[in-house]
Amino acid sequence: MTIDAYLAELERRLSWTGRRRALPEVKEHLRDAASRHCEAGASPFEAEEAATRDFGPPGEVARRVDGELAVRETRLASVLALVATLTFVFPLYVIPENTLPPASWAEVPADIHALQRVSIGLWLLAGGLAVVSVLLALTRRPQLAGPALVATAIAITVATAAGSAGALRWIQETPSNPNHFLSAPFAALILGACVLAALWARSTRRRLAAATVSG
Amino acid sequence: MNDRLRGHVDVLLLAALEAGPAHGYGLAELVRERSAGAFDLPEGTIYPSLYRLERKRFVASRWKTVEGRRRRVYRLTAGGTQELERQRSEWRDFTRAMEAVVT
Repeated sequence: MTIDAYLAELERRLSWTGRRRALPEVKEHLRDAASRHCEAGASPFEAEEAATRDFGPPGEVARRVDGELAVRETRLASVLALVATLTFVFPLYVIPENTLPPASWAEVPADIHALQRVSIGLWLLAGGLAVVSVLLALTRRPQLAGPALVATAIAITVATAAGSAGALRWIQETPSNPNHFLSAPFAALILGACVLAALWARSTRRRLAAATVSG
Repeated sequence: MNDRLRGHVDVLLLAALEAGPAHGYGLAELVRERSAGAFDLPEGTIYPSLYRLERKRFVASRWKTVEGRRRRVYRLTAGGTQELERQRSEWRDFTRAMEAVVT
């Protein structure tokens, strides 16, 4: 395989992070190795063949590189997930508490009350899961943090959905409120971020599971 | 021989970096030369090992332009030097014990 073909194959198999980090280094490495083979008397084509063969199969190299980089990513993601979960106190509690209009009822309707409880309960669960993912990410088997990260993202997503539904129901009950436009786009933004986080966590988990991580 | 290197790539790289900063290919060459060709590291394994050592802060790296080419150069950190000493000591104990039993 020529160096260009090898790099193209490696690029195809590496994650975005892996491509950014490893490809320029591998390219330089292969050029050095091919030069050495040329100096030893090989033709340019033979030299490139030997350099790429000595480097190892692109699939195996990509798996190892991504596996190692995913460890760092997972640790960072776990900490970010914990910080993000803590900041969700704002969209789930502080903002609704300060923007929703004063209630016109003596007692909170049962469905709104249930949605509030689900939202807060899942937020607490997400916090617990985020702590677990941080702890697992710091062990010698960080790939175990993957499922906890995904569960954190799901819990936050459902908590946000329940919180948003509760806020909308609240607004329905008090339609004169001028502030409800503030909460809807904000909730949509958070929801979108959660979905992206869940997708990212899922892809990281897949890469971690495929990799042999030696700690 | 290369199968026996599994699990020892990290310490070989730390030992090679003790000689001074180097890029990935330079490290592979250094290990090959020092072992008189016996340790021909599978070159694709060097970079995951270097990334792991960097994550553990045993090595640090940065891009440098050398002879008109951009290369990522790795160097041993103070933590890496300590780790190398620790692994050396473990290795000496191991070989001493092996020698006592096997020979």
